[in-house]
Amino acid sequence: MTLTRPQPRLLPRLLGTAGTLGLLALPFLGGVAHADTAAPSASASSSTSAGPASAGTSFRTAGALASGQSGQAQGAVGDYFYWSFQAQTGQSPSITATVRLPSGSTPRQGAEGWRLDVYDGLRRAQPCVSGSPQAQAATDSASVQLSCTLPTIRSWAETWSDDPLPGTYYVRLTVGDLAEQDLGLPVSAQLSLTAPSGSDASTDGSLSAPLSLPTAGPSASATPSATDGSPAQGASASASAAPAAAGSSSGLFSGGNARWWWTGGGAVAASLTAVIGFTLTRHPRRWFS
Amino acid sequence: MIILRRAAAGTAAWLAALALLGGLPTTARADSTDTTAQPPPKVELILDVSGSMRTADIGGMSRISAAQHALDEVVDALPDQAQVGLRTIGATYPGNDKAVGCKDTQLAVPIGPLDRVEMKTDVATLRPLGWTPIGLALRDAAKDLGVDSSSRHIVLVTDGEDDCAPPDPCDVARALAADGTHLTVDTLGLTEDDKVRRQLSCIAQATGGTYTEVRTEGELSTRLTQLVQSGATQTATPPAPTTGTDACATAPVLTPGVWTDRQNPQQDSWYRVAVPAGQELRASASIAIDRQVEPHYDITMRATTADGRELARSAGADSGRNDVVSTGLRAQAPVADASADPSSATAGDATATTPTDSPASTASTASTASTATTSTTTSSDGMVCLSVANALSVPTAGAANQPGFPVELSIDVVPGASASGGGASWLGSGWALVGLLALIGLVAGLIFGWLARWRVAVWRAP
Repeated sequence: MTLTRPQPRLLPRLLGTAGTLGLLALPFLGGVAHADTAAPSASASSSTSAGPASAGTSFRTAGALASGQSGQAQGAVGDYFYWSFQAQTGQSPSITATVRLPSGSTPRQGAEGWRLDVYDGLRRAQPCVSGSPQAQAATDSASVQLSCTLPTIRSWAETWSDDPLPGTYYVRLTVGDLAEQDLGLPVSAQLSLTAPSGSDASTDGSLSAPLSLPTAGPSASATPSATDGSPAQGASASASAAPAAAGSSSGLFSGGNARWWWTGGGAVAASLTAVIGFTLTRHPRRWFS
Repeated sequence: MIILRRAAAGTAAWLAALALLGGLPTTARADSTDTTAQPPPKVELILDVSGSMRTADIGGMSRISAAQHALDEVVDALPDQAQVGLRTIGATYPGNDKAVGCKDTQLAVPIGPLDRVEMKTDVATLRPLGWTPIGLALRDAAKDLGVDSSSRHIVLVTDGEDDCAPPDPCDVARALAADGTHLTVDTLGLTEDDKVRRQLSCIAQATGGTYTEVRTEGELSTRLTQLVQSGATQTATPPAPTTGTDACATAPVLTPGVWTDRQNPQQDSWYRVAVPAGQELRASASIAIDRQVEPHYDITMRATTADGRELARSAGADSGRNDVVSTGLRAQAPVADASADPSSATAGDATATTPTDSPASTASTASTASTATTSTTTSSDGMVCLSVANALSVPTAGAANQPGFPVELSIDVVPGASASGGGASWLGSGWALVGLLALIGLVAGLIFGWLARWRVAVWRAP
């Protein structure tokens, strides 16, 4: 699952030039085809079934956005609009927001500074590598456009780093500076999310679970077991976790083993093409007559 | 191509099975947190029926008739099982005696399953009369809602400032929010007055609610319906309360989930989380800014071992207008360091702990390191201390510090991340590598072939 993805359109060409090579690489192709077909269908079905996601008012009530789905908010100037979405390794999600300000009879008293904040699953602020996450709305402008593109999501990072990791991301749209008289006036906003896959997804490692926090309080069943029988619970948790961790790191085709397969396959391909090249020059008539 | 597709499908199924195996513990954990039954969310509407509501400035209608009309629409739009109540302010006493007028708030419709007819008739009979004791109404509304673990909403519709202060309704709202776990007050102002706006937005900020200024009847009914509906269908489970201490040794032990606490400005609170060996702690802390603070503020979170060694640190800083300042961290279980390099860590840990710790703890550390591969022995002392500190400054010192700022802690313990590729990082991966190797092979084959032909030709020439 953590294999480096080739461009899908490259596959036929590669297979056409070396059929034997393709056979050797079947395990990789299988993994790749699986990953590529599963992801778009899941996002497509969820985006077509639901309308725009309404904004929440806090991290825990954030409106959930699927990839390609749009978000919308109806509220007052000064409200904090929250959305959340899931991002996968290799993606660099891009958020665009349009704020529609009332163009009613009463003019606004001053400029409004709108801003778009992005947080990761642990509510750590994330930078925008491009886009304009802050914009000033003049007293007579009818709308403001904001955008933010996140850095490419890594598959793994050291625990002490702030690198963007797969999991939940939060978007907060709000007004920063404003004239006091403009507080509470009606406003609406549209948010759109695109999550194109980046070209390079380095396979440094993998997280055991995406970076998402529980949204509910501690469960009633977990609380007593933690207070009186924490060793037993800890043992069971780590016992069930151990095979999972081992499975993800030392799977036959994933993790560190993938490199052995790639390099070995490359060596076989090299020897095959060497033989082909040699026979091409030695017996050209077999090929070209 | 058919062979390829079949083989691909087989591999996909195989990989899916692998993923399922790996994903099982996490899905089971997610299910267990969802199944807890919560009491239904409750909403109480507070409608100001004071004398000033007679003013006809909402698109030609009087404020009270606009509010009555909007409430009718709200009642129609609500789902049947919604738990909604109605409280009035200034509906009964028309006189000038402040002492009496400032006690004038009644529960018109108690909170319970929606009775549309009763609600509508009660709303229709309201006549604007008296004073505006907002603070008292908020206090009584909080009593009506009760202090259970459901999410509680108050929607306040008013046109005037509280003319019965003290108590200041903003302080009342903040104190009420601190009493329970989840109280939100949304305010709707029917006037453009600056003082009213300041007071209502202060009430909203104190409880994490919203403030809306209404100028037309359409705006009022749309917004009121939206607020009551979102309050009555709130599905987010309120967090569990906890109280942090000033030292790790006495700190409360938190299990995975969402917790809430209060924290004074510039305070440092400690919590503990049991993190078994090989597991990873994920924690996030958010402080809601529920009052006026100085423009720059931050929150710092640290994870340490029981003896004070820092495992991770993170900080979130911001400035200006904001509702929350948050940060989060990931930390490996402390014994994971020892298990990574058992030979050196055993000696190092034992010598390091000898001068400070008692012999018993040294022995346990030694046994921990020697049996680092079995997690059962290490889980008992796998406590990670978490400290949350804020640097929020309140402009007016003293009474404005109480109650403390609301802190929300989200805790999760997951299996540790696996860094792969470390053992074979000198190898390559990807189609570019395979293609390059194949190309080199082809070129080498061609060169050798030509060399062989040339040699044959040279050898045959004489």
